[in-house]
Amino acid sequence: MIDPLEHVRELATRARQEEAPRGHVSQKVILRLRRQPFALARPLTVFATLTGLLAATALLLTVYSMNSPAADALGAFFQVASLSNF
Amino acid sequence: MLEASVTEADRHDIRASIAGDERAFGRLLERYEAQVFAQMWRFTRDQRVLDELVQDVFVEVFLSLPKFRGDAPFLHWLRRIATRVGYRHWRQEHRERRRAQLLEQRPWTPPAGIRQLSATEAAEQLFGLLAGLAPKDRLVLTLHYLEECSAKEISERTGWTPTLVRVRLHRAGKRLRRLVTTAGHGRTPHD
Repeated sequence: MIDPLEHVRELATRARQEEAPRGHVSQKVILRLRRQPFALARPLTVFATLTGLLAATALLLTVYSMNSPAADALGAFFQVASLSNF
Repeated sequence: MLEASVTEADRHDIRASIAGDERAFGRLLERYEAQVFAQMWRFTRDQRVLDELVQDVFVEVFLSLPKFRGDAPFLHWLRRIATRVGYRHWRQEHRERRRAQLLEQRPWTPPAGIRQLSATEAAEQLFGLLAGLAPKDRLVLTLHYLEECSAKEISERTGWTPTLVRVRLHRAGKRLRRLVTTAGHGRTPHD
């Protein structure tokens, strides 16, 4: 009985002589790469834009409440807090 | 910094590709396309899949170019990426077959007179036989027998340590023997 690995070795020796199919993929690869950066950048761009918008809104509210003593941004909070003491 | 082991043409095209020169990357691609087609042919016998795998390799090569240190020839680095892409393909295929419960081990009959087989017939026989193994066993045997890689070369291609490669080679050989002999087809026409 021949060791199966011997079969594998013999088959591999014969198989190595096979000529692999040739093809040309350069155009397809370039096309895929042209689309790739956008695909990669899109989720990050959306996340960065949303975070930026949120930060800008928070900054505007802070500046507004600091500059106008009439607009007491924390007033409502202190009112609720003092009511809860009773 | 790209070292002397990288040819002047490769060095120039790699730098230009990183800077976004499509034509330079096209030249790099055409220089190594045939080698990658031949290597990926070990991972599939379907020409449509082959085309996609070769594309995947080059897309990954392009995206990884800034990480290429140049301490070995470009082809070595390319072959590592190609091995990773091929292995990933096998693992995905294996998962799909397991999900579809198509993983029953088909008995393999050694062909009568391997020397009389054409190269393509032999390649198909070998591909079919190794397909019955888990991807890591299949990879280590393919690299060892078909690509004639030593344990050190397999280690470089896969990122596994040389000791792990030797252990995997040994275990994969045992599993292959079991696969053939449990089906009762371990005999050849010479026996």
